[in-house]
Amino acid sequence: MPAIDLQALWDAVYRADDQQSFRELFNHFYTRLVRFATDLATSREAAEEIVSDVFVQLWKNRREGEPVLYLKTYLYTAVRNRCYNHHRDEEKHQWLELEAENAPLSGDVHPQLEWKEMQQWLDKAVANLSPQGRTIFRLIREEGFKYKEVAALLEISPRTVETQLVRATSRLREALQQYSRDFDPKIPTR
Amino acid sequence: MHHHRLDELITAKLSGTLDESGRQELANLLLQHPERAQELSLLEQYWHAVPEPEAPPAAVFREMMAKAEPSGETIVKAVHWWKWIAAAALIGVLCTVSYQLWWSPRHLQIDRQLVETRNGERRQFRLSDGSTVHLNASSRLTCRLNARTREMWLEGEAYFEVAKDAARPFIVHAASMNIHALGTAFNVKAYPEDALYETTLLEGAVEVYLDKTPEQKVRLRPYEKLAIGSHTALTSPEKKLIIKPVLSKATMAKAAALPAIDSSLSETAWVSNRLQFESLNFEQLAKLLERWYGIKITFRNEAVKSYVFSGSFASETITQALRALQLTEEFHFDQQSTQIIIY
Repeated sequence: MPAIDLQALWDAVYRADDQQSFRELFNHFYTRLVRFATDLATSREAAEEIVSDVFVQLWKNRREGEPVLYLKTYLYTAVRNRCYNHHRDEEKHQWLELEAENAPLSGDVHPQLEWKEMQQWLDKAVANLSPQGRTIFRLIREEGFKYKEVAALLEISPRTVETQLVRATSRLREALQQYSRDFDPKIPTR
Repeated sequence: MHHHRLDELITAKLSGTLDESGRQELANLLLQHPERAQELSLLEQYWHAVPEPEAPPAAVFREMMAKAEPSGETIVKAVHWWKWIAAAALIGVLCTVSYQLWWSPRHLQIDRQLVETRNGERRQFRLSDGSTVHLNASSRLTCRLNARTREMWLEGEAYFEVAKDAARPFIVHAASMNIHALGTAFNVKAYPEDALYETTLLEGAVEVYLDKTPEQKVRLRPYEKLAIGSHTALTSPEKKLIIKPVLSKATMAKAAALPAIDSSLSETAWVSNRLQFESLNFEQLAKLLERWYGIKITFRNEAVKSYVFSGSFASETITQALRALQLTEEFHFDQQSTQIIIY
């Protein structure tokens, strides 16, 4: 997909009520936000509901008060707040489950090509990080947030963000080393 | 060695926060441990190959909008004419939109969507009218759906299963071909670099005509394929139209009972994730393999190019595929990640 100009779409939404631009924004952010909300330890169903509610409010309030300037930050913050609210009544928010301790990366990978196979292998290593580490890694790598933004979003120190990210790098390097041990040795020729 | 320090430096490099002294330090560390340099380069490749998440099904947006806009009236109607101009100006300035938009400001292009695949990537999706599209590797499809028409512009290859809607014709434009359909399943192949553009009908009926000769419509029956030369077609299109059955009469009887996606045909095997080919020379096959696996193939031996192969691959890696081909013909290959040299 071509890179889309999110700011231009958002301008069209709050200045011209353009529903189609709103749909494009929704389609762009929905899956990412649902994943983010799921990482904040809510169920998949709750995560989907939370993300939809955030968009409902965004549309309803599009012309109220000051226009939202940084849409991305706004959306992630709104989703975070709702996730916390979702937990408030039951228990205080906490990162559930720890990092899968050297969980064996078992390979039911269907290779198309060695590169894809390796990519999937690394995806698995990311999935095996602690939920906090995984969330931080994705926010920085996939959503392009800065350390400080992630720290503000998750209400942790920038130092923790960095520590978690370094930890992720270390796990990924381990995964690469394991991968080359298990798979790289030349397949004997027929 | 200082593993932890190396992890810190690699992390900074990946996230773009590495300063000059860090760069020096990393370079020095990698000089001492060259085996780590490959890890870094793989991690960098991985870091930058971020997959685009799938958009949710259209119903998810509809349900959300039903809550956001409970009256159900479309905002579009309520907007004053000057807002349209403002919106058109805004979008026109910010996007690379074709000038057509200015001539039909009421459509803006809001009903258009572009779907693209890279080499080695195939995608399947459903359009808002219920039709299904499978898009083969390295293809671009622009879809325009509105109350009156369903129109697609294709570069590359796609398989369409069209939902019946007599009021809205389904038209695919691919290179110089135009294909009209009403509730049907067909495959269109029009890669700019290929010598032939093809339309294969699996079910229902389609009419095909060329840009130059819209009055000459050719009607295809199921299991017929229409092929036109991509280069010569411009001068004398009518001579280059080739219609041929893709199945013999006998198998056609059987074919009626087959499911819409008929994976026994090489024209549509890709839809079921199989790469199938018949009597292709190695040069043609290399093009298919490039798209299928997202790789680059170079020949260092002219004689090898004319080897002819038939066969099919499903879950094989490119290495396994080439080894299988080596069983029938003699050649060598050399692989460096996504670059393959055949000699």
